[in-house]
Parts: sequence; C-alpha cells; structure tokens
Amino acid sequence: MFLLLPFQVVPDDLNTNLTATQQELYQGIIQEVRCLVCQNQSIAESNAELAKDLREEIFQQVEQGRNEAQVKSYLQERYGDFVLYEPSFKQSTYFLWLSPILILILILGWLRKIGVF
Amino acid sequence: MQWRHPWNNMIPEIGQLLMITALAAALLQFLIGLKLFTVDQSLRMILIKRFTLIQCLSIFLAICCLGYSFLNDDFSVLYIALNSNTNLPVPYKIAAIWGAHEGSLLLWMFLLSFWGVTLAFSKKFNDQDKMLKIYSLSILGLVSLSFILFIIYTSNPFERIFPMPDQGRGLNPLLQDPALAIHPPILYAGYVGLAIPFALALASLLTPHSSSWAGIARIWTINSWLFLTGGIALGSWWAYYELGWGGWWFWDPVENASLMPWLVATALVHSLIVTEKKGLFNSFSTLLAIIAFSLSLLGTFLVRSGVLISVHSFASDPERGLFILMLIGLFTGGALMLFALKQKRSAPLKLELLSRESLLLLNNVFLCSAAGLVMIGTLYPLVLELVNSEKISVGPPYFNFVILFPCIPLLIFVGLAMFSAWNGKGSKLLLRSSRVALLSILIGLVVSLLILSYDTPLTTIGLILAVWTIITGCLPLIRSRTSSLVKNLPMALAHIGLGIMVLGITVTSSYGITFDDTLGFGQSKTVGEYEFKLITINDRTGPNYTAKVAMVEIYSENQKIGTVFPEKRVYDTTSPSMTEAGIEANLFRDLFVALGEDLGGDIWSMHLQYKPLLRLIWLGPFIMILGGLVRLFLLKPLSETANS
Repeated sequence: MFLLLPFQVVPDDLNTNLTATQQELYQGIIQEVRCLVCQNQSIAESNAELAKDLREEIFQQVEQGRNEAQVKSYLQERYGDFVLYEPSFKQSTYFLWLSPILILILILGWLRKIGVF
Repeated sequence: MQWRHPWNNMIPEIGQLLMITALAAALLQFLIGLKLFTVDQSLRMILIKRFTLIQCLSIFLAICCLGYSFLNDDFSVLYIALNSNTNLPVPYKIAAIWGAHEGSLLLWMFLLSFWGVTLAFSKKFNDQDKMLKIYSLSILGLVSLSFILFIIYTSNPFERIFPMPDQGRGLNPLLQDPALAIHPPILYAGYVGLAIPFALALASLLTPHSSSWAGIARIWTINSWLFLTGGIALGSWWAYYELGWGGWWFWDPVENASLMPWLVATALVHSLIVTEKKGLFNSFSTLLAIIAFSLSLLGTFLVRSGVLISVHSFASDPERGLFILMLIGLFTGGALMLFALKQKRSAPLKLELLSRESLLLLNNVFLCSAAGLVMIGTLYPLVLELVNSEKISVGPPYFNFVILFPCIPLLIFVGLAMFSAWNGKGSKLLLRSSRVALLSILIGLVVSLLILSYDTPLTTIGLILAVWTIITGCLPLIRSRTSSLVKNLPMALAHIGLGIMVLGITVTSSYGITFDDTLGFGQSKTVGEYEFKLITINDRTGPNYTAKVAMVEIYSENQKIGTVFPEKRVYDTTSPSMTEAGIEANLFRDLFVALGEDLGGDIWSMHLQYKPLLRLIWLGPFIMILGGLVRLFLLKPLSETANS
C-alpha cells in the first residue's frame, strides 16, 4: 500500500497546465462523454461527483499525452457504448449513420415522381 | 401557521370546477361541427364562437385559481407543495405555475384555447369560408377536449394532499431565472399555435370549395413560428449563462423536441406562400401542417412522458405517456387518413427546375429532412433500447455531422431563390446569381484564409455560405422600389437573420477557445488575447440561497476591460450547487467565467472562455423575429391581398 502513495492523486496535480492543444483536446473529449448518473448531460456540464472524477481522469490522460481515440476507447471499455455521445458504427447503428443518405435517395425519388426533374 | 380566510380553501375546488366547465365547452365546440344540434349555419357560427370563448375563459380563470393558491402558499394542493415554498420570491411563485408537469400542461391548454379564440374572432375569413371556420374550430374543440381530459385524469394540478405539509419543497433552482421563467410560455405558445394550421388544413379537406385556407393558415403559422423562434433562442441563451459551461446548443432531446416543429413550421410558411399565390403544393402544405402539429405532440410526449429519463421509468409508470401516445395516434393517424381520403388529386407538376416554385419546394424538402434526421437521432436510442435492450447515446458529434447534409444545400438554395422568378428559367437564374456567388466565395476565402487563420474546410464553407445568405438577403431591399420595400422586408430580414446566425455559429465554433484551469487569488491566466485575473472570492446571501462570488478582472493588452462576478449558489432546498456565470460581452466577442471547485488554500478551478461573434447566434433569430413581426403587423391584412 505504501508503495502506491507517491502516485496518489492530490488536487495540486490539477494545477499542472495543459498546452493549448491539449486543452482543446480535453475540452473536446469532455463534451462528448456522457455523465452516467445525470439526466442527459455531458461531463463538461455536470456537477455530479462521477463527472468530476471522469474529468480529472481524462485531464490526466490528456496530460500524459494520450490521444482522443485512446481516451475514448478506455472509457468505452470501462462504461460501455452508452458513455460516448458519438455512437459507434456497428450493425445496430447502420440505419442511424446511413439515414442521411437514405433520406437523400428518398427525396430524389419523390421529386422525380412528382415531376420536378 | 398563519390564519387564512376560509374562502381560500375553496379556490382549488373552484379551479377544478372551471376545468370541468372548459371540458364541457370543448365538447360542445366539437359537437357543433358535427351538425348535431342545428344545421343553421349562422347559429352554429355564433354558438361555436361562444363555446370557444367560454372554454378559454374557464381555463384562464383556472390558471388564476392556481396562481392565487400559489401566492397563498396553499400546500394542501400537492402541486404547490412540490413546487413552491414560503421563501420563494413572488415572481417565481407565479412562474412556478408552469414550473412542472401539471401546471405547464394547464398553460399549454390555455394557450391552445387562446389561439382558438383568435381564430374564432378573426376577420380574415370571407363569407364563403364560414364552413372552413366552423370545421376548424370544431377540430380545435376535439384537440382541447382530449387535452383537458388528459389534465383531469393524469395530471391534475388541483389534486390535494393530506395531511397538509407546513412547508413546500420549493421550485427547482434551475428554473429560478427570469429568462427561464418566461421561456415556457413563449415556447408553448409556438408549439400549440401549430394546432391552428393543423385544424385549418383538415377543415380545408372537408370543405373542398374553399381555397383561402392557405392564406389564413399562413398568418397563424408565422405567428407560432415567431414564438418558437423566440422560445428556442431564449432557451439557448439561458442554457449559455445558467448551465455553467458556456455551451449554447446541446442537441438534448428536449431541445430537439422544439427544433423539429420549428424546422417543419419554417417549411410550412414557405409552402403556404406557393399554395396561396400560385395554387400549387396544396397537398404538400396540408401534409406539412399535419406533420408540424404532430411533431408538437411528439415533443410533448418526449418531454412529458418521462421516456427520456429512461425507457424503463416510462414502462413502470406509463399512464401519461400512453395517453399522449394515444392522442398522437388519434390526431396524426386520423389526420393522415382524412388526408388520404379527401386530398384533391392534382395533375403532375410541370416545374422549371430552377424556378422559384422548385427552389421553395426543394428547400422545404431539405428542412423536412433536417427535421427527419433530428427525429431519427432523438428516437433511435429509445427504439434500440426497447428492441434489443442495447443502450447507446446519440449526441452532438452525431447531430453536428448529419445536420450538414440538408443544411449546406439548404443555404445554397436559400440564396439562389432570391434570384428566381415564378416559373423562371434556370439558365437566366444562374447567370444573374453568378456575380454575387463569386463575390461571396471571394469574401469567404479572404476572411477565412487571410483575416482569420485557416481552420478547417468546413469553416471556410460556413463563412462563404453565411456571406452568401446575408448578401442575397439584402438584395430584395436594394433592388426594390420604395413602394415594395416594406413588402420585401419580412423575407429580407428573415434571411439576413439566418445568415448572421450561420456566421455566428461558424466563427464561434471554429475560433472559440475554452480553458479549464486552477487559479489562486491574485493569479491570472491568458486565454487567446485576454488575461483573466482572479482577485478574490467572497460569500453572499441571497433571498433563498447562499453564494460564493468571485471577482475576476479581465485585461486585454494590459488594459483592464472589465470585471465579472461569477457565482456558485447553494439553494436552501436542494443540495447540488448552481453556477451563475460571469460574462463580459460585446457584439464581437464573449468572455465567460464560471466558478468551479474549491480546491483548498484559496485555489479554485475555473472555466474560462473566449467566444468570438457568439452574440450573433441570438442576434440572428432576433432579426428573423423582427421580419415576422413586420409581416404580421405592418403589412396589409392578408385577406385583402388574397382577394385581389
């Protein structure tokens, strides 16, 4: 146990400055991560304890130089698909992601049918 | 406990009786449309107007009863015990009337009956349109009837509680804000206003000889479009300064629920122009009117059924949700069936591809696709959870991406339509628009590459489209003679407003800077060209909360440009703290400070933002609203133009 102590998180760690690029990355990620205990808020908006912990976790991962994909896959493994506001592209979301194209085809078909072109 | 006059105890009962009166009036209003009592047209007209008025007055008085009991702190009424307490400031006691489910439905109902009265006593109907009026009021009676039943059976605001608690639970602190206090009435007025074009569209299917429904429906559509625009913009502004981290649009299902009817109402306004002026797209306009109101109902279902919190919480207490679903089924299904049976079969259109008719049609289709995409994204997680218990989230990354598909062509065609003529040829149109198009592209490129720093291709496209929309929006004003200036003003303002909003959205999301950092007293942090310096943090006591108030000075090039006082409030009644942001803003940029956590030793985490042109996101809708107001109040009454 004592061996772990030096690595424990103390609030002062937060004081470490991120570079401007890292801040942008951090801000981008926390807006796309859902707070799991709130009613539809991202962890950027939420004041819940879980959201604070997650923000701190992400802050440190960004500080350690991990990129967006790495942080997100870490969260996804730990909390499931629900935590990410960007649904992944898989069998159950094919329709969701392809809907813009489907709608476009429908529109073209309909316009053709009523004689616009 | 203070002494109360015994009369006060009866007030909620009177409110209850008034609701039943309204129910009866709505029932009669509906039945008169069915020729049940009399076939005499003028008698039916007089009766249906009276019942519409009685219904509206009863509901208004019922709201007054509820308000009176709120002001009296009558906690024997469950709704008041849950949403007010004795410490609540008086204006918020009034706003608390619509602060939760039951009361907001009552307000919804009042606005519906109020719009019904404006239709009943409108002078826009010609003599041939008497049946149109009677039928549409009768349909509105049916809508009212269903919702009053819904209120009485599932969401009665006058329900009593025994024993009566000494103190109420208090209003949700998030709602204790002026903008949010007036936000629901405005938004609801827009939502339910769409019931009027809905009723008119259905009535027009029942009265095949009447052709003037489009002109009449357009007035009420613009009217509710105005309220929707105002309500959405106000909600966005509120979210920006109150929710604590300075976002202005979240693609939250509740926001989406208001955006969908707005998009379709916008399409409806444009489609009705063509129907009124050219007699085209009659079926399309009818269909849009049905869809717009259905989306209002869908929004009500999403917000009011609890289905958004969790599909399971909905399933465990499905009474309200099922009732609204039934109403959606009844009104949407019934209306679509009527539409299928009664719509006039029109000959295939022969449109020039780039004529004004085609461009308006195309844009309406894009607006509807945008609404469709928002709907798919909003409902998809709910459906997926129901079908195979899979939980996913669909949020900003999805919506920000897919919404581009309809919106980019939409903006291109909005500008093109300004050069178009009724039944005009495409080649002429392209010739006339090419100079302005080149100019817009040039300005967009210069601004994004030389003046600002290059960001992404999307930023450049956004800038070009914003410039294009603004310039083409100004064209009708520049080209028209003074006599037709006022006539073109509403359209010009609406389109300029749209362009300004697009400009704001593009610049602020591409060039905004956000920083989360920790600051000690006397320390400062530079964000972009601005330096934020935390001076000190003090305690403050408000009427029903305690607050930490920070003093943050903002410098630009070592010149002090302002001091802001972001707050963190703890209300007596609930535990989570509320953020009140400190904002130093002008038209060109917003500087935003929100107070985060106390980390001990006078060190606080702070949320700092620099957002260029953020104000344009609300200035745009404001200009759009001005356009709508000019249309409704400055132009000649529409019936005259319809007759000529």
